[in-house]
Amino acid sequence: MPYKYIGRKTDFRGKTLWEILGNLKNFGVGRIVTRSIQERYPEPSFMKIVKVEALPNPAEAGPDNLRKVRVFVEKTFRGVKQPKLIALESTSYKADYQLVPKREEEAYLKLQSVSAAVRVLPKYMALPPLMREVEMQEMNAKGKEFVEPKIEVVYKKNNSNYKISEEMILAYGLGKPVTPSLYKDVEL
Amino acid sequence: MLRVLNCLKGLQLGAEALSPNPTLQTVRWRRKPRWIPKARSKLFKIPEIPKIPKEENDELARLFNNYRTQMKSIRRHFTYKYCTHMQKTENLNQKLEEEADLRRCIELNDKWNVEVKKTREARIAADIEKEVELAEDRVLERQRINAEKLEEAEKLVREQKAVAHTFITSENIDEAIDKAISNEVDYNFSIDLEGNKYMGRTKSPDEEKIAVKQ
Repeated sequence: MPYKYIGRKTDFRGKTLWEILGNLKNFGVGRIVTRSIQERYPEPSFMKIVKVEALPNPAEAGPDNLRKVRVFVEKTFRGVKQPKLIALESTSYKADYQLVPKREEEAYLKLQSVSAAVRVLPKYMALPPLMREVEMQEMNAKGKEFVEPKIEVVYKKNNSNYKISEEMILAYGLGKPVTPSLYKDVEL
Repeated sequence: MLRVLNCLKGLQLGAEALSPNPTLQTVRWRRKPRWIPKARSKLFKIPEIPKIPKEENDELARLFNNYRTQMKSIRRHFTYKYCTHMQKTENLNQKLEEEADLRRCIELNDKWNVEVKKTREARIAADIEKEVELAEDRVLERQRINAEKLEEAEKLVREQKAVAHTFITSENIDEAIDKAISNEVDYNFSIDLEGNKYMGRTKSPDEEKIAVKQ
């Protein structure tokens, strides 16, 4: 009788870390694994196994309670190698890991230097039209000289993927589309 | 309000009966709570994951990212603007009023604190007294129990001393063995249909009769 699957489909593709590493010589130390969920990025993301510590099987093992394993990895995320080793444990049960064959490892390690270019982002933002009118009226009421109102843009802190430019101003509106074909007959 | 409207909806009345406002619309306010399981009719239904073309997905992601960044920026702008506005009030009268109000609040608070302190100290003193009393009671009770135990132990010793002359020791063990051999005891017995008990394994019923209550 064929299997009938019930429930939501998953985006995961692969095996759990325990399944992969338990079948490898020396628990796969030195090998490279990837996560399929990180394949969405154009830059390469992969992990090199450095140390493996086994964990016990869960008391009630089953499809919803898979075995975990504590693995220390050299992680490369989006082409950037992390300076410290990273311990995987709480995510090791996810059936989303894939082993890179030995013959492809060299090519993966070469990709390590390919990282995304640092983006330059504007520090300030123009106000939405109505807010701009209100600000202008407030300035008039106070008798101040008119200055084009602008506010500081909030970005994620401690992110080295971008630099902030003082001169640039983020225009309010739809912005530049990444796929102009969607706006074929629309005036932007 | 929504609850009331929902009741009216159940009565086929609608919101117009309650309010003349034509813009008022009844809404379904209640959803299935998270802990209630999936409906049996929907148990085997697998929702399709929508397939969005890559270009469209990229564009939507860009628009949403921009929207979130801009909204965060605007929200922080308002927060900063109105917080600093409140801090930098230039109205002297209002400032004086606020200060007077604060002083009044502090005075009232101090007064309350003094009252509360009085009651608190009284309560703590009473509590301590009660605790001490309880502790003394416990000590007395413990002493009484210890004395009782000692008395019991001494009584046991006295009783044992009184019967000590009957104990079998290494001196009189031969004598005791001889006595036991000469006085053989037979605990076997038999019972007839009337329930009479005849002691001994070999004794005949005529020799001895002991009635057994049934």
